[in-house]
Amino acid sequence: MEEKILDILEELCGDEVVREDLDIDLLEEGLLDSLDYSELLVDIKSELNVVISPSEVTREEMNTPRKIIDKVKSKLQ
Amino acid sequence: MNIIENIKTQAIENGKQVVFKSRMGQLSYLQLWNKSEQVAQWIKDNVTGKNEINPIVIYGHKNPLMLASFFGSTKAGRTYCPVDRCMPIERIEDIIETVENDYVLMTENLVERICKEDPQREADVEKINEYTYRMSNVNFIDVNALLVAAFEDVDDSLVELVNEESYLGKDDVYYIIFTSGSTGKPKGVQITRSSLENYLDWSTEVGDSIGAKHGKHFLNQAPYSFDLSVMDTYTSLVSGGTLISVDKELQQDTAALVKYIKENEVNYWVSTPSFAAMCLSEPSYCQEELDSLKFFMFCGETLSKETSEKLMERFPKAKIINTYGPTESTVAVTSIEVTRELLADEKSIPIGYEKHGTEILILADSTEGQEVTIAKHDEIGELVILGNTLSIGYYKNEVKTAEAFKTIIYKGREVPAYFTGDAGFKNKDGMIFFLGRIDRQVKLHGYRIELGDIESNLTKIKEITQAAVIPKKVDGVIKQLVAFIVSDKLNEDYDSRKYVRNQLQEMIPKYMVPKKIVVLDKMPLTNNGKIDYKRMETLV
Repeated sequence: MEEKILDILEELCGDEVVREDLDIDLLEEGLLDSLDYSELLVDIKSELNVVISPSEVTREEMNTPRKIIDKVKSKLQ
Repeated sequence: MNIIENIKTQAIENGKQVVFKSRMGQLSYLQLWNKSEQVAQWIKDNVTGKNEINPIVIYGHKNPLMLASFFGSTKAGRTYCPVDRCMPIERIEDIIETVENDYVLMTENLVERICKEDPQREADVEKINEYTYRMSNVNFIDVNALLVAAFEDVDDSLVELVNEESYLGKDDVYYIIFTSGSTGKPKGVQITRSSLENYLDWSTEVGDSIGAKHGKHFLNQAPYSFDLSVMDTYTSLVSGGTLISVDKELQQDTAALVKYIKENEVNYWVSTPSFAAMCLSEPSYCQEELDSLKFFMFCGETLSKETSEKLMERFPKAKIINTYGPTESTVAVTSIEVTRELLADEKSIPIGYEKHGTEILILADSTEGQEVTIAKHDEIGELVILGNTLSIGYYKNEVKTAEAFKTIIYKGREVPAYFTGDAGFKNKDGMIFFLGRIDRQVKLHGYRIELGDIESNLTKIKEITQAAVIPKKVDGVIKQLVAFIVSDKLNEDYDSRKYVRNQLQEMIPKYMVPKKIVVLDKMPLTNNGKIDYKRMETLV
């Protein structure tokens, strides 16, 4: 699961740093813009069958690879 | 201009002068004249019947006999079609099939190459005599073996075997060069003798006069199947110069290449910009080593400011000339000298002004049967070429010919025009700027983006020497842009990539900044020495 999310993130951000630094701030670093963010939610749904609606979390709560992984994990439990 | 006359004069007056030299051998002007007479004689006697009207494929690499074969077919009144060994076999056979001539001249053994790749074909090969191999009903003629077997080597007096009446006429097709073509089958561009001679009237006067070029040395980098080679080869030939031709293997060893060019005292550097940019990574590529280098002549792709500036630093005594032209209008039709003032004044390097006899229109719009609409200055449109060096169309391809070669109404008159598919504009002084292929304009998230625009901004970042931007597609839809960059200062790490993205964001809108930045050691180049976009598409 973690690997899949990192694949999605690397694809969307275009940079493998998302694997190397799980705590990198994707928003601050300009790696994930709003368009990418909505795509991220769509990809998580289609690849992992986990639905995260844009209203339930703010972008700030999903601003690092680790936080995104944790969020998906919590949804799966 | 009369190509044949010029070469003949040179053969008589300066017969001993070397006309062509490569690591595969050399020829003098007299030898070129004599051997081409022999080739012409043989063609006239043997390539007969239906083969008389069909072009002759000439295969090889940087062999001196390539020139003798080209010139031999011209004297025999035949069109030639140069095919370099860097082409894949499938494509070579495709061309041989398209031209429908039962004879192929070769300066290296194509039959052996085909059999090596496909041993089953060997059963189909029949050796007819010392120099003829027959395969699939095509006769492959080993030119060297032919000259040895059928003629005497004469190098002290002028040989005259064929009558001038056999020579190719002004309106006849002089050569056919197959363009790579981004999609589908390659197209054979037909260039007449008069187009070539009109081009040479101009090219011999670019940079300096034809008289100044006499006896000078020209670099030949491009393979003969790429029409950039016409720029160095024919300009040198009709000016009485010497061609210093560098083979593929030598081109891959920059240090050895520089040494070879130094030993042979090259004065005119003719290549693609990418090839010179690649050479810049070699420290010995500089004026101290290459003292005789006086001119750089570029064509075939965009010349970046970065490359020009570096060349100016390395070669303070040399002049840089940028030219532009599609194969369909005979090599090049515009030029400009790139000076420091020009670099300071302009955002990108212009392609300059049209040569005498050519007019380039920046077309805003055109409707059949109506006067065309020309773009205002600084307004972008398609470059459309009129003038005395236009191709007569693609060989046996009426559909593609009709798409690109049209009659337009301009200033109330019907004129033939070639639609280049290139985008550009003219400034208020009529100076022309090239912006890239119209089809390199892409749509990403609804924005119209010019990939060439991003590339030219990338090379403005001082650490970056070369850049290529490739769209990444998923199911045919562009999802993302990927930038490939070459830099001797940046590493393949996050800080470098972030630096490039940040720098770029200062210059262009955020939506144009490529998501993915890939740092390469070396830009992949095609066999012609241009940036290999197709190969990079497979990497994204």
